[in-house]
Formats: sequence, structure tokens, C-alpha cells
Amino acid sequence: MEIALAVPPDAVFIVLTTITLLAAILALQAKELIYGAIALGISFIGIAGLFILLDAPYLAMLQIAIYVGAVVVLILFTIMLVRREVGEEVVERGERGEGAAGLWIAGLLAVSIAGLAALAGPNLASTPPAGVLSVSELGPVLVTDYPVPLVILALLLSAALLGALMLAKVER
Amino acid sequence: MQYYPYVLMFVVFDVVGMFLFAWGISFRAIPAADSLMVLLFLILLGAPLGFALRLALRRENW
Amino acid sequence: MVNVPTTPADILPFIISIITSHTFITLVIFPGMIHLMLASAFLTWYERKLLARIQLRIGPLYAGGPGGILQPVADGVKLIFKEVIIPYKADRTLFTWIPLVLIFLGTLPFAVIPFGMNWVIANLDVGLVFVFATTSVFPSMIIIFAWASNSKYPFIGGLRSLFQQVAYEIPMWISALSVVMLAGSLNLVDIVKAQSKIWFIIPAFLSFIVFFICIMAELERLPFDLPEAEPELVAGWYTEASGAIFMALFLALYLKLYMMSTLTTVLFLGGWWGPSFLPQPVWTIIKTMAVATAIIIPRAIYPRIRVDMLIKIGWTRLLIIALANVFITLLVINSGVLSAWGL
Repeated sequence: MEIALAVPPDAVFIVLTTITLLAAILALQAKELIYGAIALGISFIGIAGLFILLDAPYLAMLQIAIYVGAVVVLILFTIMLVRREVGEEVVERGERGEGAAGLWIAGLLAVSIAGLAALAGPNLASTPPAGVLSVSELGPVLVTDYPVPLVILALLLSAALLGALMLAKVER
Repeated sequence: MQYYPYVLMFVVFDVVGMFLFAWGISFRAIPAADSLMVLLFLILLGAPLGFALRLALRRENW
Repeated sequence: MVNVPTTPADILPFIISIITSHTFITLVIFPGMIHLMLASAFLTWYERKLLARIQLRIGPLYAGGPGGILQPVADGVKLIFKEVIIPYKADRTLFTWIPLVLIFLGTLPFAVIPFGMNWVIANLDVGLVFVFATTSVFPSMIIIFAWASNSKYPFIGGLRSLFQQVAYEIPMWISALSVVMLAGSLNLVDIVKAQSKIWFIIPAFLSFIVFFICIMAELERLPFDLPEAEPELVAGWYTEASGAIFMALFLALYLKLYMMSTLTTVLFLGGWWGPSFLPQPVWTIIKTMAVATAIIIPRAIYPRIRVDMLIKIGWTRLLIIALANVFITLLVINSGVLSAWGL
């Protein structure tokens, strides 16, 4: 399955990254928590679009189904229940030097990424070398070549689940 | 609040379902030992989920 | 890709070539926008007429044409002219935009559902997962709308609806997994092609039953009607919707009904396969209407299920049956019984 676009892929990439980043910033800065959760969902959809651009359609669908479908629901549910019990907004005030710290960290990130790209030199490919990773190729590879990560994933999920339940349980 | 475990279980089973779809396409083409790995995956997740269900069904925990 | 017209004499052939191109026809006419809007409106009339006949009433009669078939048009016109009441301190933006997003989400899966061998808008390799991913966004929209209504009844109804839809989504996925195992592909066109000799309802009968029950719960239809719960919660999570907003929501709900029925047809009832005296899309529509009838009829018959029983059934019984059916399908496939039908 070839992904044929009528516009150059770079334009789509720029639009998608802008949406994702803007939504992520909105998710952190929104005054209403629900708006933040919705913005988070939009940024997840943007990331799924980036997965599609990177020729991983199954991963994009997985991202939408799990993140937008389940994690956002969990976040919304928690917001609504906790809001009902607390009943008040938490107003955040900016601390001193917050902007400067943000700029400093962003500068460090930019320098390190540029340095890595320079080190990789001519080996840095601009497009992924392989074709579209169709799910019929992904499925066997996932199960055959990566059994240990599957088991570790299962243990990790179980630990997270049990931990969350133990924390939420009412102690007698 | 007593319905919190159900939403957690939904998240976990979402991931399980997605991985099972990946297995469901390819299980004819791979050796049977790898399908047993998937079964192990299911069991490792199923036991805590059964426990979570028991926790959710008993009222005094919430 | 296309011959952009350069002279004014080129414009008309250019437009005609676009209109008759396969993409345009599938996108706009069938199975695209026009067909979906007509089908969704038709289903509202169909439900009222069917329920009325079962309950020994007559149903819509006066709206024009035979049997009141223009009733949805009358409803639409009435709802457009009604006043849209937005509750005090409700969230205006979300309140007005969520129904439109729901319509968008309801039509999105139709991009991959095939109505005939060539009647599909986008033949995605991950088609089935695309459908499930888009339908899994519904519960979050519902709870946002319920929150945006800023009142008690929608809030409680929204939470109930959330738990119901969340609880029945996983058995739906696992029972569709049996179909995927039988067909060996997530591509909906391939799944229908694999049913050319035998419909999947026969080898995966338990899966069909589980899937059908999960669909009825996802659509909030009786006997899973608790989020609507007329005597208790007025109308559940869409209590505060009125006028054009209610019309958009109504359209989205019936679109979802049509989508789930079409999905059942494609997954279990053999899609477009049928004796060739009727064209393929007609067979799909006939089977889809049969499924939709089977979904609508229990509304006239069965009582409502209580919310805790509802959630328990979804998470315990249905999930176990669906998982058991995956193992049964695994055994059936490995034993080679189905090789006579090419599976």
C-alpha cells in the first residue's frame, strides 16, 4: 500500500508538527482541565498522523485506539470525578525565572540535536529507507522476533494496573 | 469511584486487543512456539485482570 | 495527475472527468456523503415505522408520500427552526462543536467499508483497525458533551454511557479477532473476499452473537438503554441538546447505527456476496437493513438492564465467551476442517 499525497510530504509534516506542538502546549497551559485533556487528544492524533507519514499505518491506528480511545477517556474520567470531590479550580501562578529556564533547556536541546546530526554526517537519511511497514509484515515479526519484550510488556502493564488499584483502594 | 478499575482494565485490554490483532493475522505463518508466547502474554495479563475484577466487584473496597 | 484546464473550452470536460471519476463517485454519491445522509434519515423513519407496527400503532403517516416517508425531512425542518437553548454557564464552543465532530466520526469508518468489489473509498490494509480506532473515540466525545452541558442529568447519563460503551468495546474487538483469524487480513475487502464460499457467521457463530450484543450496547439501544433512561434521566447525556444541535446528534447516532450494521454485514454476513441477479451493493444494503431491523426490534420488546448488571455482563461473561471463541477458532482452523471453503 503506497501512500500517495497530492501535496509534498514536507507541507503535511509541517502542518502536523505544528498542530501537535500547539496542542501539547495548550494541554499544559489551559486553565480548564477539560480543555487540556481535549488538546492532549488532538496532539495524540497529530502524532498518529506523523506515524502515517513515517510509513507505519498500523502503529498510527494503535496510537489512536489506545491513546485517544483509552488514555484520554481515563484522564477525562479522573478529571471529572476529582473535580466533583474537590469542587474547585487550582490556579497556578508562574514562578520567577520560569521563562528563562524554558529558553535555556530549549537551547540545550537544539544544540545537542544539531551536534548529533552533524556527527552522523552523511549517513543521516532524509527519508526512511524501507517501504511501508504493512501489518502483514509487522505481525509475524512482532511475535517471532520479540517474545521477550512481549512478556516484559505484560509484566509492566500488570504492575501498573495493580499499582493504580492499590493506590485507589480504600484502606480498612 | 467504584467504577475506576473498569476504566483501567479498559486501557490494558485495549493494548492487549491491538497486540492480538497483530497476532491474529500472522499466526498461520509462524511456528507454534511463538503462539505459545502470545498465550503466555495473555495469561500474564489475565491473572492481574482477574484480580482487578475481583477487587472491583467487592463493594467494601470503595 | 490531472489535466488542469488551460483554456475556457477545457473546463467543462475537466469538470465532467472529475465528476465521473471513481473517487468522486464513491466519495460523494455512493457509499459517500449523499448515500450516508439519505440512509441515516431513512433509518429514523424506518425505526419509527417498525416500532409502531410491532406495537400495533401506525407510526408516521401524514408527512407526505406513502407511509409518511418524508417524516425525516419534516423533522429536520422543524428542528432547524427550533431555538437552541444553551444552559447557563455551559461551555458554548464544546456544546456546539461536539455534535459536528460526532457526525464526522460517524462517517469516517465508511471510508474503508466496502459495499461491493470496487465500491470502497479507501482500500486500507489496516481497515478493520481503522474502524475500531475511530469508534473508540466516541466515548470521550460523549463525556465531553455531557460535561459541557453543565447539569446533573447529562453528567450522570454521560458517565453511565461511558462505562457502558467502554465495557462492551473489548468483547467487540475480541470477537472481531475471530473473523481476522479466519480471513488472515485486516483489510475489509479481503475479509469479504474470503467469505466467497462460506459466510463467517457459520464458523464463528459465537463471535457473531457476542459481536451483535456488543453492537447493541455500543449504540445504546434497548435493552442497554440506561444512558437514555427516559423515566429516570430525561434523555441522558444529550438532555440539554435542542434544535439544530439535537438534529446533528440524532443524525450522528443513526449514522453510527448504519455503520455498525454495515460492519456486521461485512464481517459476518458475507458482505456483497449473493446470487448475481442483483448487483453487489444492493446485496450489502439488503443484509445491512436486515441487521438494522434485528437491532431495532428489541427496543419494542425487552426491558432495560440495570447499570451494574450491564457492566458485569460486559466484563465477565462476554469477554470470557469472546476469548473462548478465539481458542475455538484456533482449534477449528488448525484442524483443517475449513479447508474445503478455502479458509
